[in-house]
Amino acid sequence: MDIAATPGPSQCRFCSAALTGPYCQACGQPSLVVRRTFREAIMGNAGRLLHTLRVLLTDPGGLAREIDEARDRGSMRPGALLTNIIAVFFLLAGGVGGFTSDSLIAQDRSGHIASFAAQRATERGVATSVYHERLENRFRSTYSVLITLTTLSYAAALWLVERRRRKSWLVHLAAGVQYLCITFILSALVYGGGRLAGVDVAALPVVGVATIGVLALYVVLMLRRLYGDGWGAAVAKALVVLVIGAVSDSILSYAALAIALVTA
Amino acid sequence: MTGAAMQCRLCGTALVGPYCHACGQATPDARRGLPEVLLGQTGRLTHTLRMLFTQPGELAREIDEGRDRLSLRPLTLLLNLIPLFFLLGGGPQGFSVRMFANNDPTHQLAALAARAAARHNVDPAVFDERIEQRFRAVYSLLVVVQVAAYGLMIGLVERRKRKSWLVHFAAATHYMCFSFVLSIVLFGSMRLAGVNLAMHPVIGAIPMLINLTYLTLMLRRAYADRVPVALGKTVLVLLVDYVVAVVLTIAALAIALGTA
Repeated sequence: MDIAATPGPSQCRFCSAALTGPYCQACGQPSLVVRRTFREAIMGNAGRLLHTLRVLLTDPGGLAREIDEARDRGSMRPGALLTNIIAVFFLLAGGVGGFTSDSLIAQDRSGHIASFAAQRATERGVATSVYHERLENRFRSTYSVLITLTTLSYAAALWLVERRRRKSWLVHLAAGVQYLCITFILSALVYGGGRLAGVDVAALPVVGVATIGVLALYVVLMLRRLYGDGWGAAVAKALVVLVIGAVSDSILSYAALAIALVTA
Repeated sequence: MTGAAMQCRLCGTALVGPYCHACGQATPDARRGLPEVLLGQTGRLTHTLRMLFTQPGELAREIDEGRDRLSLRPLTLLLNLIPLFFLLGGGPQGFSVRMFANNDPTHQLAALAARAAARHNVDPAVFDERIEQRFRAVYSLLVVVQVAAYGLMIGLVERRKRKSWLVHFAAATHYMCFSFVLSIVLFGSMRLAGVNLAMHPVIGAIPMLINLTYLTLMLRRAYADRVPVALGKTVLVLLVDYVVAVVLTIAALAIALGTA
């Protein structure tokens, strides 16, 4: 940087605006008087985990509303939160009896996917058991990356049912991410609890129905608080969002499995 | 600015621009992008990579001088580079448990893996696959410890400059990013060429020299050291951290063997 052009102490070092406080009012760059934390400067998260989890669990739509109302600095970024929750989800809910590529293959009654997997193992010249190990790992990474598309589908569904509110796409996306975070937390608890108790929760329709019920209630409350919908409208819109989301989730899961089968 | 947005919605301060000058909260008038709102990233990847490769130490200096808004956060960059490293630089000829096992003259590592597989009653080939995956995960986490070690060493050799620890950790993270990019190129090209790196120590020495030059230039730019001083400090930092890297790799192998 040219010394003659170096901004003075009362100027922003990034955009050169005259400073009126510790943060630049024009570009948001923290000045040298701000005591930035490691989390903020090195990781990009100004928010606190405890506050974020509290809002996530107790205030459906609260994180998206913070973004909508421009008071989200105390919360972790939704994308960062989701990425971390997915890793915890696979840690707790993956493995035998959990959400795995093998569990998806087992759902295929025709046996086509299982025979394709066996064929791929032969082509790769590895034992079927080794191939399944690789398939599982590839499935997890692909699923984690493709979850971005599910977020987009939820955001699109929310925009569709709430387009008259004229809110920013960022708000719909944040709401979509917040809902997915809750979905993964609940699934981690259900599958993880099932594994601990030695129960195959996928074979218990009651557990599945209860989980869907909790998630539906969460979406209804989210629509009410975030978009100000009445009960009737929120329930109807929640159904639309959940149906679109469920279709998108299924497509995503099988797309991740297909990519894993081809590339593992 | 609209009348409703005259006060910060987070801290209540009277606003004078699109960002709150008291707490940094963006107002509805601030044009925030998707990466900023959803991921906390205000920076651009191209700018960050350009600075990382062409001006060693400049990204840490941006943080030191309070003008880092255009750059990706250092740890985010590193955490994205690590999977890329394992994708391109992993595999049998690359940085993997198999490579360590193949180059272990005592064959103790292979024997330990075989014993662990028998203890878990798992096919040895499946267990090797699990160890590899666990090693990658554990190593990725332990890289953060390595960043801390580099940060501490840089802080130690540059303690007289009285800079914030954030600058030392940022410099350490950026050095690690560069080092991983170099390793991706090295291990990736070795895989493509089908060459076992362990059999060619001369090739392995080239990235060490490049890393040494990079860190020297980084210390010059970020801490304004003269070349001989920067070189002396670099050698000290690299020596200590070479030991740390070896310890962490062994720890990652041990944890992977114990938990796979």
